[in-house]
Amino acid sequence: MKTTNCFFAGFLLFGVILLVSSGCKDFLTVAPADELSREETFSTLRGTNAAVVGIYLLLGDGNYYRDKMLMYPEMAGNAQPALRPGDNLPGTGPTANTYNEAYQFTYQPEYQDNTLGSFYDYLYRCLYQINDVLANIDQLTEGSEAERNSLKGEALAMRAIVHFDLVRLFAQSPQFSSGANHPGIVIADRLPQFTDQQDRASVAEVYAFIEQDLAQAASLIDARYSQRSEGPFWLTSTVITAYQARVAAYLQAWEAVIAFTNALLASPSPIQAAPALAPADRYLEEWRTNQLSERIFALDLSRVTTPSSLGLSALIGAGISEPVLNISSDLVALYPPEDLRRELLVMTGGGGTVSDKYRLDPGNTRLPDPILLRTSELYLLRAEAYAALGRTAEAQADYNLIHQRANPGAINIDLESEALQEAIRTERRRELALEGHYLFDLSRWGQPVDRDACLEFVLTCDLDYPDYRYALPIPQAAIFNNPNLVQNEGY
Amino acid sequence: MLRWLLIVCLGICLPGILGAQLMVKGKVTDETGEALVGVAIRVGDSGSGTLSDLDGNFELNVKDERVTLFLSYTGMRSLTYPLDRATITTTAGGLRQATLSLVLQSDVAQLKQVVVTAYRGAQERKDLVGSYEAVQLAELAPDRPEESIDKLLEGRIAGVQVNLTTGEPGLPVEVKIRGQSSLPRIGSGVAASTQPLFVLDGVPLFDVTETNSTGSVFSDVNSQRINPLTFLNPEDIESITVLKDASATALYGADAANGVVLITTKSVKNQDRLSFQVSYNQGYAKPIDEIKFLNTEEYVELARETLFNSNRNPAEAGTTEVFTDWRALVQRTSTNRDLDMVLSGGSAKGAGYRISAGYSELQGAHLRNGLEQLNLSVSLSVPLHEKLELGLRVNGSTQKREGISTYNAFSYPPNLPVRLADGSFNNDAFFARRPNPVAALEQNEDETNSKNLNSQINLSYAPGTTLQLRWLAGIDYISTDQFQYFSALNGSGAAQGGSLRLAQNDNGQWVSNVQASWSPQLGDAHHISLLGGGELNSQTQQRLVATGNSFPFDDLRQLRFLPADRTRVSESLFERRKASLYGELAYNYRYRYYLKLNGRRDASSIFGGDQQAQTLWALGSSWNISEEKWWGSQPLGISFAKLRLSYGITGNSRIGVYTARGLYRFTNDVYVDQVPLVASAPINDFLGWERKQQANLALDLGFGTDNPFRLTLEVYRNTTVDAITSAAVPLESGFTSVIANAASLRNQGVELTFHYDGATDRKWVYNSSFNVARNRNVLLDINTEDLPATVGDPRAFRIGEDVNSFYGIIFAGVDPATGKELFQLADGTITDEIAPTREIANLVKLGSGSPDFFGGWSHSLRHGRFTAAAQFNFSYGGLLFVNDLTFQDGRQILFNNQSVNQLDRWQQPGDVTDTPRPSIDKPLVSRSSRYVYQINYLQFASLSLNYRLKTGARTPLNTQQVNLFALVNNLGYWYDEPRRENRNTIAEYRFNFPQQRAVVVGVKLGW
Repeated sequence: MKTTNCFFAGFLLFGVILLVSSGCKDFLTVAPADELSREETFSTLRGTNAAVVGIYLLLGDGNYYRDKMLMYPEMAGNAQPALRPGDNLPGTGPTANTYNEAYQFTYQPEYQDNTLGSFYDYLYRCLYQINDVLANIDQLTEGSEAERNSLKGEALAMRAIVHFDLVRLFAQSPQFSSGANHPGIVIADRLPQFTDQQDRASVAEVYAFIEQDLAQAASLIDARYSQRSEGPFWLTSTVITAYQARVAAYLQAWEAVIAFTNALLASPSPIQAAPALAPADRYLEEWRTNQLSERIFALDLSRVTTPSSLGLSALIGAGISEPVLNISSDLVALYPPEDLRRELLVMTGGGGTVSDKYRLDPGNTRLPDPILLRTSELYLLRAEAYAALGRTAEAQADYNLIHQRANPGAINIDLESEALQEAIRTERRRELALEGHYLFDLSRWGQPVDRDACLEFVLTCDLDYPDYRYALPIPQAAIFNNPNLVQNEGY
Repeated sequence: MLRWLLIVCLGICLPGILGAQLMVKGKVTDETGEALVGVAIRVGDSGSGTLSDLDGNFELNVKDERVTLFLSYTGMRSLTYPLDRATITTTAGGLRQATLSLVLQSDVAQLKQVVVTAYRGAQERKDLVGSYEAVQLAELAPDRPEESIDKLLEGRIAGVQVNLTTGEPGLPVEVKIRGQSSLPRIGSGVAASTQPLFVLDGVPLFDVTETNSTGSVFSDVNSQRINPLTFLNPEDIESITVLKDASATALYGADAANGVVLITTKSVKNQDRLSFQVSYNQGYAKPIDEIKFLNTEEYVELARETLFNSNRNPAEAGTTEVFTDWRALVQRTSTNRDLDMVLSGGSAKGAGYRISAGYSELQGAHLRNGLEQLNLSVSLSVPLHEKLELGLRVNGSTQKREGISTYNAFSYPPNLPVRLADGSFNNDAFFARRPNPVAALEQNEDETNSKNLNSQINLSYAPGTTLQLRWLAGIDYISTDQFQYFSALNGSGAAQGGSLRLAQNDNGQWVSNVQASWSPQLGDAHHISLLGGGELNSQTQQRLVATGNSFPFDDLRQLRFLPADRTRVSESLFERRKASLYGELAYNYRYRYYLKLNGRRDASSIFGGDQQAQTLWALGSSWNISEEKWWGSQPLGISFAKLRLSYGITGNSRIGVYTARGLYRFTNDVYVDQVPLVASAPINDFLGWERKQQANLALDLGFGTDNPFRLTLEVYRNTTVDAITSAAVPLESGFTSVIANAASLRNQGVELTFHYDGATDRKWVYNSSFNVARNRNVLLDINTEDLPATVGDPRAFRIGEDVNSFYGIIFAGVDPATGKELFQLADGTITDEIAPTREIANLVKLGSGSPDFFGGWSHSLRHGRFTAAAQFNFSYGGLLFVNDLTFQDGRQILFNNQSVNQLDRWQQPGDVTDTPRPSIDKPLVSRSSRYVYQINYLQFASLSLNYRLKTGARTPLNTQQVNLFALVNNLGYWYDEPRRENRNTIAEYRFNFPQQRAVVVGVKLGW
């Protein structure tokens, strides 16, 4: 009987220990190993800072600036699908598909087999994180006020950038209707409620929102904090002002364009200096080495080294054996024979042309960093503004600065008014080719898509302006999930 | 009468004869009267005994009749026979003699009377309050070449649906009990698991289907999940019990909402005889109902026409000179082999052991696709003390699965050559996009090695007859390593320069459980039983995926040969803990009125804040009407009647890795030199446990003496409130969907089960079991109605409809004038325009994937040494959306061979057909009734024949048991849609990877 009691006691004891421990809270507290809760993230300056850095990472994602955001607008005349032996259009290759549809203007709201369809949800995903930062930053007590403001400024600037991209992708330019009252995009100005089914704001409202965010960002951002390391990879007040200049140009607010660009360029002493133009003698070298000195804002892609995600290089970069895209002969024909920039055009073995802007050296798997803003664009924007306001001499001077860098022998331009405007636009196309501007520029200039060298069997080669295809269709999935959305007319 | 005689006899004789020698003669037979050879007969505790001879006879001398005989025999229920029951005669010589005729019952027959229940062990069927269906493994024809027991359950239990989505071996199988009680996943959303909880000897198994990894690096693409039930050797399983209503499942609380399946392994017999069994079987299988595709001549003709119709050059259709049978090149006759050995025995003191080893090999229908497995299982039962019993079971398995993708080879154009003139593989432009399957089979690798350790220890202590204490602890560990290599030499890996994926999945869990049960003796009328216990459970899941590409040499398939920047590693660690308390109070009055109240409180680490703990409970009652005095003797032939009623609330917490508070993830990447955080899950304050209110009413009837006819009729109504739904949200929120407890749905239905167990002493013994179930599923409420979640997916959630409903446009035939596809819009107009087919207003309900009724019918017939068994399954009223048909109409003709049905296409004005004019740029309307098929079928699921040879010392191997068997698995399907000569119908379209018909022969030997 004694042994029995002993067993019994031991048995019970074991059970009691187990049950007591089950009441213990610690047993049930398990933290995810590779994730932080939202509260934890935003309870510290370090976490908030990491969340802001995360937005830069999101911008450089394969869904966004790694290639698609830059290549899509170029398909309207500067780039074309690279045909391989046995290929026909419409191409059905695994990667070529996306750009074939961009090239032929054959989008459908269902975006079948088309990775451009992820633009919409991806850009709003970026906005979720941006708005989450903004919703939490005011509760943060760590760090100095200046530092917290600077983080807030960065988030606001990024909110403006993403809205600017959304409205350029999915809506007609502000000039499309008087007062820009046509449908823009849904403005994401706060953390979303999942029950919200918002209407599209008008293009005018979206631009007003963008301008407001940029202005607020410019007043808050502080390069002491935002410039976390050397290089053009961080937002500063210079970057924000440059964006303000570009946004003003889309709105044809020419006085504002001049004011913003002058703040960055005016000699002798600009308020905040943009980097100097890359000198002619180093221009090609800097492009080829991913070191362009005149970059104002670029996204760091040093992390992306997997060959399968080579972004722009794999699409159209020199050094890739089988590029997905080629440079259109329409663009090639624009460069005078002596033009320095012609040397950035490289013939491939297959007879196509690719670009040294996105060069990939053998053995070097470092991707070229996508450039979002550079000093040349500021001069070109200012030239456009001067020309539009009839300040011909100043416009000519800015034009010459860019044109003569590439064509040292070129004489000063003597064109005026519309001819000058046309020359500046062509120079913009030459200088900023393959950098994500062309279709957006045509749209804001109200110009047709006019291609001479279309590939065979293309369904749509040219577009008259206006045309519904200047804007991408709102994805059908977005309309299903938010019935208040109105599809772009024409789709 | 007999009893009286005995008492009188004892009364008279007792004083004189006690202590006198007794000679016992006897014969042991089975239920059929067949003599049993080598039955161990032991006399009390003395250790002496004998074995029955070739005719089943034995003789023993015992000291008097106050001893008890113990008989044991493999595969038979042990028999305890007190000799004082025997009639003793005294011969003329004064020799006292008893002649016995003993019948041993087979395990199966015995076990039919008891049912394994949650935490309670076996209970007698008549005392059950909840809804239990038990099936012995032997009834499931376990020799069928199915690698996991869940597949064997199909058609056996009313209300249990087993959906075979693929014919590939080793992958998870979808099992549903009483319909779909959680919303299905649409698109890439998160959804709660709809699998029942599988419990192996008290230890819950992993639910591999719950992980919501779609789209992530840990998805099936990179790391294939293995069905944990494949690790179990069917030879080791005794029985399976399916728990259906709240009263039966409530003790499993938060994981019980989808029903519970209890798997019980073979117990250790208390026998001191060593027994050894070997069985071997081998099978061959061929695919049935394969989709018929175009041959070269037909393909080229159709391709040319399609290209011509699309203003393209018909010459692109390619040559008519090449005849490649892609299917024949990648398929083979599939085979399976199984070898099992079982050794069991024990000591006179009640200790016992059972050791089993199994080897099985399954070569799938596709080359280099198969499964090979080795199992070793040891069970021990040791009485440590007269009141303390130790049980131990350790099961280890290793499994190798090969699963190289053949890239749907059957749909490759038949006029493409596999090899070029020089004998090398054809890797031209086409094969850069769709890899050459023959080259892939030769050059690629995809192998998964898995190991499973599942062990359980339990100590039970019974200090008296009323109290029992038990401690049970179990560990279950599954480790899976997958190696996939896509060779640079073919299109699957050419673009990446060869690509390697290593995936490692470690699932570990432990359970510790303490419980006490107390059943005080309160006299004849009142019976009370109390059960209480606590359980801790911890699960960890560790995953690692490493990838690399651009290999310098194709045969150096190791990541270490790559520079670091061409490799990538992703890791994930997930841990979940649960603490639970449970209890049960059972009461009955004179075995007539039963009342059972049980419940469980679960606290889990995966939910945040106040949602952490949840109490779930059930109340059940039953009334054994036939125990009432007024019932009399079998009115209407009804010998047994019972009414059961239960209501309760159970939960479903299995929603995978999740938190409701919003998460940020550290990415593998850095930005310049900073470590970024990226939002991985939105804030979601309202996420909690799914709860299911279950009501069940049942009637059990037995007819005739010993109830050879048994009938169970059950009616249930289950309402899932707070159903977790992956609700589509406006994309402007930054997410396409979120999880919310924002829906409720109801399953209600009727189940009828009918058993007939023929008398075992007849010449022909017939058993049959029939079941049919009807379940109606209705979505009662959802926050975002009417939003078909993803474009192209025909499923959507609408209130008042089945959650598995399809929505789409009605296909209205083909315009004889133009050959265009016609659609009927909501307002009745017929159009060939595409734009209106995308409007939600024009999408109508096309039907539902859930059948109106389904069930199975099994038969077994024994005559002498022959036993024949057959199983039929049927389903009526379900629909299937055949997604692959959207590749037709010439749309992808240069990439996909087309169904032979495409030969009926429209060619010229006036053609009346249902197949439109083919063209490459034909717009796709995937949500169309054209792709929806009825699946009404009767399946002849299996037919088996078993012959038992005469055994004993006279046979060559001196065996005690020799069985020969042959079976045919999956003889075929009858559909109500007639098959068409040289055309495909639902019979062919139903399975993309065709079903197999297998023939298996085998032998079982026992010593």
